Amino acid sequence: MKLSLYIFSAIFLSQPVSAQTSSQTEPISFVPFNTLPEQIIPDSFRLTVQGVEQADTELIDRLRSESRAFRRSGIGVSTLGLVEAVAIPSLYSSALVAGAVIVVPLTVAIGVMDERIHDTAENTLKENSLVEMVRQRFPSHLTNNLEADHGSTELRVTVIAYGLSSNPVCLIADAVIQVFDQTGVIYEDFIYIEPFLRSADAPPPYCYSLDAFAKNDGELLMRGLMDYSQIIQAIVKKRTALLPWPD
Amino acid sequence: MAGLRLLIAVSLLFVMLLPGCSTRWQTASEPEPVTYIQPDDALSRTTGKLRRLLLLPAVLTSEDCPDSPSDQLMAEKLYQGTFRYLRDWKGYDLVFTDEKELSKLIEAVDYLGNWQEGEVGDGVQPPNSHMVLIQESAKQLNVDGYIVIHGRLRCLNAMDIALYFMIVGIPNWTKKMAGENLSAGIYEINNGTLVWKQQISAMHPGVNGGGNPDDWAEYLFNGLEQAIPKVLLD
Repeated sequence: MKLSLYIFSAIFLSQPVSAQTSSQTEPISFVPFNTLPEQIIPDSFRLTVQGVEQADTELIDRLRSESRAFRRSGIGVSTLGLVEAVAIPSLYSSALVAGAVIVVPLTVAIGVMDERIHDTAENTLKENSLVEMVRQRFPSHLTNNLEADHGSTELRVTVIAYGLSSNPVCLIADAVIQVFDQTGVIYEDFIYIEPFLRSADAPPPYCYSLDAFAKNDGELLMRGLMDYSQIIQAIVKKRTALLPWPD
Repeated sequence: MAGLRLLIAVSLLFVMLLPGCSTRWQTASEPEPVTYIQPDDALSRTTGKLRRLLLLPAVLTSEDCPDSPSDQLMAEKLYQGTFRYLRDWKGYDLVFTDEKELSKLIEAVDYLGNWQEGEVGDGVQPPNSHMVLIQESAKQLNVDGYIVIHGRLRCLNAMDIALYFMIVGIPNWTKKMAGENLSAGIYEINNGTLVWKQQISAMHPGVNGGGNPDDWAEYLFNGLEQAIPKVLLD
């Protein structure tokens, strides 16, 4: 059994560094939060939820290109071995041919699996807008309150970024809460759900391997996005509890 | 040439030895928390509903490890690593019991640890006598459940270290310890049912042979569901 440990080590140590999930590499910064001050309590307010319409998929793009390079090198080495076996027959020729027969399909199979993982994760992130999910968490009459006076109070929730981080691989989401009146911004505060930068009232981010995130058609990613939308809504309501929220 | 041969050897052995490094399961039922009332709109959760947990002392025994730290020191490090990981990365609210109480529980934890390393299925309850002792202690602390960590460890011998170096290409002198039969179980407080279990037969390669108990904690609990966030309960 211990030998299998070494084999696993050999295989996995050759994987891209950015695919690691180690979470204890740097200290976590907890960012304190502010609640809405008491000075101005409006009779009504309207709510706007906006932000980036698509998740950041940079990590997936990078892992995809690293995986392709890994695959190319595996096939390249095998091809070189085959050419050498044919061109310069030696004692090792049969081993080289046998090796290439094993390595090439194995490399291709690993590549196909990687592609599926990357595609599933990317599609799940692209097809599910966190902004829309957050919007749906609030009462629709607040978000559709277009008839309010021009000068009325506006609560604006902007999703600044969401997607997957690397080292460790975590689902992250950042947002800003702003309250405007006719004079401009009267309150502004941030929500951070990141591995090493977190709002004091936010829970830890979802951190798993990309493989785990993509499993079962991206179930864990979907679950994470749904959780985050609920968490963002709860944080917004708690920090702006002085606004006249409907029961 | 040598590199290619190594790749071939590794590929063959990888295919042969792929299965059987860790096993995990979690209950399909929904355990009931006792420390909070669930919000109506909460997402479906199983183990993650058990938010406030008593972290019982880790019980580790080792063999063939003449130069390694003592079992107790290793257990303490694993315990601290687990505490940090579950609090900082999974969002659980962890509580402890005092030292006097802990010393009474060690034997029960050892028994429960050995039991959970066997073949146990969903909804199975451990033997009553040991469970009652822990439950009594845990109930006083108003928790939803408790965590049992148990393991038997072995060290790498000279041949193991040589093989590691040949295959991985990195010496493993400082990271000798390999985990064998390291397990973690989470039990709900109401009836003592085991609701989540992770068992490791050999350490994950990502921890380079398993020398750091912080890494063990991460590998043991990485697959655990996130706890229900506090912000949804207040």
